[in-house]
Amino acid sequence: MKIFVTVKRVPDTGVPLRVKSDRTGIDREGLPYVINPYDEYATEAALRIKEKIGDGEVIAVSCGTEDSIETIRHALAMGADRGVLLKVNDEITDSVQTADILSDYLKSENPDFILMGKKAVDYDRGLVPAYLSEKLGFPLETCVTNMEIKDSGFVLERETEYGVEIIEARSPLIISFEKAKFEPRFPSLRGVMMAKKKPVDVNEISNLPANSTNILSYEPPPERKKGKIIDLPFPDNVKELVKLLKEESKII
Amino acid sequence: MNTGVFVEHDGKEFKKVSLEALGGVSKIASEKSGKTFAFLFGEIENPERLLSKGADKVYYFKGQNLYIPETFTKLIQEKIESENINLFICGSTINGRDLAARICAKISASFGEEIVDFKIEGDKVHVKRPVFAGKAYVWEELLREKVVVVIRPNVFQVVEKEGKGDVEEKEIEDVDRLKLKDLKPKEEEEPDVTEADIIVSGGRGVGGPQGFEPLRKLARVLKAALGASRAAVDAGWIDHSHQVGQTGKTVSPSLYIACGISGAMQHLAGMRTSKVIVAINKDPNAPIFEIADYGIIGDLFEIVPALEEEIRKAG
Ligand SMILES: Cc1cc2nc3c(=O)[nH]c(=O)nc-3n(C[C@H](O)[C@H](O)[C@H](O)COP(=O)(O)OP(=O)(O)OC[C@H]3O[C@@H](n4cnc5c(N)ncnc54)[C@H](O)[C@@H]3O)c2cc1C
Ligand SMILES: Nc1ncnc2c1ncn2[C@@H]1O[C@H](COP(=O)(O)O)[C@@H](O)[C@H]1O
Repeated sequence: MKIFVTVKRVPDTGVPLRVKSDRTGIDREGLPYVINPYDEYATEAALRIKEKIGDGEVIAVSCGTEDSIETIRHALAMGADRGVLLKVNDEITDSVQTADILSDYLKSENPDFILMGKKAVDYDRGLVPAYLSEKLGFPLETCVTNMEIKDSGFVLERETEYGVEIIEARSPLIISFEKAKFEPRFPSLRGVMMAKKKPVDVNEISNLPANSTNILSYEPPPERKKGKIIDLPFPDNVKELVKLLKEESKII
Repeated sequence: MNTGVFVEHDGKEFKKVSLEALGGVSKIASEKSGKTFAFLFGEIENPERLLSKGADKVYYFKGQNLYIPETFTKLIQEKIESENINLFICGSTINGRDLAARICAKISASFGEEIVDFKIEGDKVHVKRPVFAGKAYVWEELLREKVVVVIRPNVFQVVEKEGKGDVEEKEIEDVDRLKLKDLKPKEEEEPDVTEADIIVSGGRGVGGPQGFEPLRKLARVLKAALGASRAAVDAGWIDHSHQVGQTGKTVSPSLYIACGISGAMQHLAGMRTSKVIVAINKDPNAPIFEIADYGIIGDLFEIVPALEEEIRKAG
């Protein structure tokens, strides 16, 4: 059983970002990076499949610059067996380009499962899983929130606005994960040590596929004016708030 | 430019964001002289209602009210080809985003996720959308001939117009997704946070599952939806479907009342575009006050019931 998990290196979401003054991108100076949080759920799911089945290989794949090896190592420290970097010289901002590179690689690898995040939290698209599904001809379930492994196959849960879908699934399959009901494990110290010895293949991507979008400019989000603290004793502060909502912002 | 719109519904009402898709973006497209096709699946009464919301023609595929992505994709793809549709739009819901990505991949289109603005420059579609969880926006040129976009709720306008056109009805025959075994409906009929005009939201400060009760009461008076921070969800006090933020829902209501929420970056990612933000927190240094329009420093268990009372009085 070959279980692939795709992992992307993204800026840590807990820190502020600045748009460069010439609006051509974000200021990456000193920015901390993490593994895309949804990809952590995918990695956890991959490890659980392997543990349950009792054999198989979990392979962490990332497309990116040399720095993405760090992200692959995170998956290895969690327990993945080996890594593959599809190396490009500059960061790709187009999900279709990424999907083309990933599918070119994966199509000759005979995966049983490809586990992914529902979206990468940098460019926030959520497109790569669908493109891979189309290119590889694998069925796809997106935004999966839970996974149970039974002898007969897998039972997936997918939460929508209408309720929880219960889906029976088997390989080959692509699954993209939402924040799941299970928690990704933290790499142990031993895991981190072992990860350093696990193999990471580097495949140079020399010919970039065509892009489908072109980012013209970046803007900071609209400024929010710092509002007022209603500095009155209780319950006058509550009365004042209701008055402001009624008369100033005319909402209630 | 011909436009197609995926219209979602719960069996009774159309999703507001689907009507916003029909109204908002299709209007720009129709100024470029084209037709707007609505795609409707499942079962709902009076599908012709869509003709007064901006659709020129409704393709109504009748069947069970279940989401069957492979089948929907195939049926829509056929019409995209036969009706020469260049722009396909979904509202930002779980299934809307899923379908949009599948169709995009199927027809090799360019993709605009969660857009908040839209224009046509020459023969190219340009979209504005948030990236990095709302910490920046980009204007993006969609290079391919066909484009698929997903619109953010509460951004585009629903239109009312004179209904012309027709509804073409067909039964769904081949259902690919037999692997869908069950749909457990929601237990409680609570308003969905992504569509609500007002949200009352609670964080770790509510202290436990019962701590949401005063918020629920306030929400009822305001006809609001109930939101939550991840801390409250992870503690098991409320269901994940209520979570607002980067790993939860993105919302932009007219009014967002944050109670006992500190205002972490990942929470702000989901609600910073709300029109008016109210923060109730006992810590004067909580970062939520940095972006709140109105703040009250105090104990939410005192403030929230009083607020409910006061709003009730004000009628
Ligand atoms: C990858 C990732 C994704 C994340 N995604 C999300 C997300 O989608 N949504 C999200 O919300 N968070 C998310 N987080 C978590 C986020 O970083 C914060 O931990 C979380 O938002 C904190 O929730 P909180 O404000 O409820 O809790 P706290 O930060 O603990 O704040 C509680 C607040 O309540 C106040 N308080 C306590 N008692 C009272 C009282 N009686 N009356 C009034 N005020 C009171 C306190 O002063 C405090 O400010 C994510 C984190 C990571 C790493
Ligand atoms: N450069 C990349 N390398 C590896 N996986 C990626 C990359 N980009 C996207 N993915 C995977 O595809 C998912 C969706 O990404 P996206 O469609 O770009 O939002 C992510 O959660 C990853 O699992």
